[in-house]
Amino acid sequence: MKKGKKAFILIGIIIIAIAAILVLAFDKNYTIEGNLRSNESYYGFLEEK
Amino acid sequence: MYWENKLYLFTLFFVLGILISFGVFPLASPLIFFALSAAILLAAVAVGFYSYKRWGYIKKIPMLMAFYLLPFVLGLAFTHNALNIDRKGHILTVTGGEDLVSATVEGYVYREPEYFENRMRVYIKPLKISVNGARSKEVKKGKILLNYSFKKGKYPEFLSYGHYITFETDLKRPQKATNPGGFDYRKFLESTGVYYTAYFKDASRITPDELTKKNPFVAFSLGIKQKFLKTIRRTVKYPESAFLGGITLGLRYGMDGIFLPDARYQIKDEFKRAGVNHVLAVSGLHVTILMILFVGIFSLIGVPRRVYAVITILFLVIFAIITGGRPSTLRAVIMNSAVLMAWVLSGKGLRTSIEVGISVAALMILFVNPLLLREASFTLSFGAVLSLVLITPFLDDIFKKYLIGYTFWAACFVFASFTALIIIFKSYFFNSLFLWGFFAASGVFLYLSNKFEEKKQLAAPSYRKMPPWLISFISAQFAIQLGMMIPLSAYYFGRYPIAGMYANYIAIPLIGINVQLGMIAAILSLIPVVGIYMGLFINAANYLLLKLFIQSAHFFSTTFPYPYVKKFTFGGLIFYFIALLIIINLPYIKSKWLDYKYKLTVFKQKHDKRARIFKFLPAIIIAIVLLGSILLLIPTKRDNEVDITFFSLSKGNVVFIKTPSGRNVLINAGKHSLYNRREWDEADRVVMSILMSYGINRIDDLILTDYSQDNNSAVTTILREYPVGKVYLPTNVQKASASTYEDFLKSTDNEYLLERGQAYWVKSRYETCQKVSNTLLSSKIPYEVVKAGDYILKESKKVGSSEYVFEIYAIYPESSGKEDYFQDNMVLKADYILKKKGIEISRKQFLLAADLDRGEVDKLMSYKQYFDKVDVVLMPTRFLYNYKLKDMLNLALPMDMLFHIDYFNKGKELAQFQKDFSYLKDKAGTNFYDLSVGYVRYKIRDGKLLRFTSGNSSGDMEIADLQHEF
Repeated sequence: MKKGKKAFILIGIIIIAIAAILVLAFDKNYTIEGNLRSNESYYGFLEEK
Repeated sequence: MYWENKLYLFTLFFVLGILISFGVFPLASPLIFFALSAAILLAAVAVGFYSYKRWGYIKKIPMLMAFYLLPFVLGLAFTHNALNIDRKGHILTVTGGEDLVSATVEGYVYREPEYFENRMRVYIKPLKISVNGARSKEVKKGKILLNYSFKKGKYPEFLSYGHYITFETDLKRPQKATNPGGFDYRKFLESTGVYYTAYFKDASRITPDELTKKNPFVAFSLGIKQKFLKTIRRTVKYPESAFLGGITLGLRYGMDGIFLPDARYQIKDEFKRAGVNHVLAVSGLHVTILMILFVGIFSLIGVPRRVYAVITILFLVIFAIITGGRPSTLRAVIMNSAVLMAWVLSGKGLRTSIEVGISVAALMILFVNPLLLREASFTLSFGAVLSLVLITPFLDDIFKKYLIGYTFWAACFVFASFTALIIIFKSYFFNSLFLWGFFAASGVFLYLSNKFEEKKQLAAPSYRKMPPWLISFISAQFAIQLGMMIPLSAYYFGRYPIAGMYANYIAIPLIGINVQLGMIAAILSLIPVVGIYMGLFINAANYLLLKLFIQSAHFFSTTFPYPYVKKFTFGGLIFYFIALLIIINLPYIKSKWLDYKYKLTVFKQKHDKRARIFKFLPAIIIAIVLLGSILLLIPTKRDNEVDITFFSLSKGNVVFIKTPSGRNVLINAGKHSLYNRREWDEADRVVMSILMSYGINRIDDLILTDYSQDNNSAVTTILREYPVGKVYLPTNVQKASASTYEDFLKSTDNEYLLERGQAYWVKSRYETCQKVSNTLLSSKIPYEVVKAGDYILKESKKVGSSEYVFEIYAIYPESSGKEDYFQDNMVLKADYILKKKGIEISRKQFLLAADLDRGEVDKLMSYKQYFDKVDVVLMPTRFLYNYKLKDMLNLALPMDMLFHIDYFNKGKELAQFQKDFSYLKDKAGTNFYDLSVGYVRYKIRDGKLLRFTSGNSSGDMEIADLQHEF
């Protein structure tokens, strides 16, 4: 793979990591439990077997 | 390229065979076509073998037979077989083809159900059916769609994939199009093999069986889907989770009813308006994104090509099963798999591999089910990829050749002006004269700038010097607009999302990242213990990008208009594509023309007289094609004809009238629920769609008979998004707009309403009135208040000794000085009079009582003179059983009576209706038409009244179609 492409992918990974850290750090409700609570109405019935 | 071209031709003629079958079925038994195909194949092989032995090469005739005639006849054979319902074992033969039949069904769930909020659609493959308690018969072909409503949290496990069940129910044939040009649900379901529907609210009538019939691979794929869905619910917040579920798992119904704060339209509709809703229909884009992801990752870690090709194809098949196996996904998976195999195994170039892939995918899908050719999901999917393959290179060449220097700047200026004009002056783009004028001026400007560039040679900037990925992307976007969006949006939907030209530059790259990150997170979360946290981390970043996508769609949907466009007819669509193909292939056609001229010159030297015919032959063919196209495109217009359509809506009375002089009159707008934002906007979904299919691009007169929610809560759609000349109302809007609800209530003397003043159905009238008033006043459309005796329209025309008169006038409300917003509901009459030498020889009368309150019928009876011998009566939506209406009907003795039976009380209301009104059938031969079942359309020509109803599927027929037997 060309160097330019590798650098592009690396930068992309760094940006994604930073974005994820920002979301998890600033939004206290962004947890597994918090997300499940917000998704109560979204296909919740499929898990209530 | 030789065999790729031959495969293309084979596919093309196979498709032609299918198309012809749709028009001529039933031409003959399918067995005859299959036998003919076998004979052609044998003959082609025999002749080919003989010519090879004799001359050392295969002559043209066997090639023509194999690649033109054989696929054509095969297309006829397969389609006739699919359309043939008259055979043993077909579900329609077992049930006798009845529209409604009581039956006991034994079968199994053959695919994963579709889930919605509080309901599901279950697809049943019946094995045995017993009709009305008779002996069970075996069913070999045909399926049933079971609609099951259930309470939240109560998910019936026995209705999932593979389970055997037995149930007793009423099987119903799906509805045909209820309005002209409307969606034919019956045809749509039959294309997928479903012939009956059933409705359940109670699972106790379904008997589950412990047996299951599951394909292990399908069951495994659906198990993965459940795990992926669990991951999405845990790693992404709502509503972005619903969006991710839609684009990765095909769960597009999870997006229903979601609104951004303060948005007028739900997110799904904003996607439509922004031209990016294709992301919710899992197809080529998603499959290609995933293929790139897998190929990229495997290449990065050094997996051999032949190994990762197989793994990738396996995953794509799982993806197709997960997302429901729709034609667009199947097409994409087959194509991408073929491309991958051709690229990896044979080393063929990507372009060639794609062309092979399209043909292989089309043949595989259509061999299994040729009826899919007429479905939007098939044509849009193949249309998109064909546009990319055929039109992109053509546009690429044009742009590279001409967009240099001054021409480049001129093109940028034209594009920028177009963008500014459609944002700032939206309404001008309803005016086709302005639009064509703009394009003509732009064409001249670009031509002159090109001439200037040839002289001055600025040379930079230039399109060809832009980055290659940008060039490809821009050319592809324009190709998709030309090849798919413009013709197919117009043909299927009657609206064109201008924003798509801009929004997709952001949407397509973004969706690539959304899908890839979503898939990576879902796959990683399968790792025990830590996987879910890895998924949470990746989807946290994806959450921001999903939000960005939704917000940008919102931005584009609110910035750009979403105009209605005249629906293409089928003939118009064919003409458009032929013209496009000719333009794209001009160099090829030119070379063939020169070749033909050379051969003609040689031929002329030997056969001078015969050559003269061949000399004119091309011109004759072109003339025939042009004349045929013009005849197809020009709508037939009959002078002095009145065309009146009574729409089929949930409850509202909406009528469209095309007058003899060509004026477009719309009475009422339909319902857009004031309390449930998820409900359809009937003006958008039904009324405007029908007007587009009629080719109407302006309403001259909009008459609003009342402020009931059923009749007019959707009026804002029409006033905001459609050119309207003038509005007619029963009461003054300026006063209404300024009044409070208490003032509004004071306007009426109706004790019944005053006692129930806080009921929502009473308040809804105030809210609808406010909606009408505020929108009308802000739109500055002229309006007029109409009372009894006022004429809205009066036309007359003399042709020789005949005179045609058409009038629309109000017979209610009275002009009393005091306006009652509840009870002053307009009642109209429309009369068509034919006179010869000044003497009236024919009069056709329509009485339109769209909505009447309790006390109004009494007042209406003082206008008896208008009820004498009325031909068609439109009954009010409410208080249908007001006994005083009988007095009116006994005077009118109408030929036809049009009404709505309430959907939820159908049995009870119909029984009451029969009891109250069936005497008219004996007394006056009255026909009854339930507008909740289908539309009724009338045409009056030369004094004759013709009627068309939704029961007709084959166009104009002069019949009296009884929808209810009394």
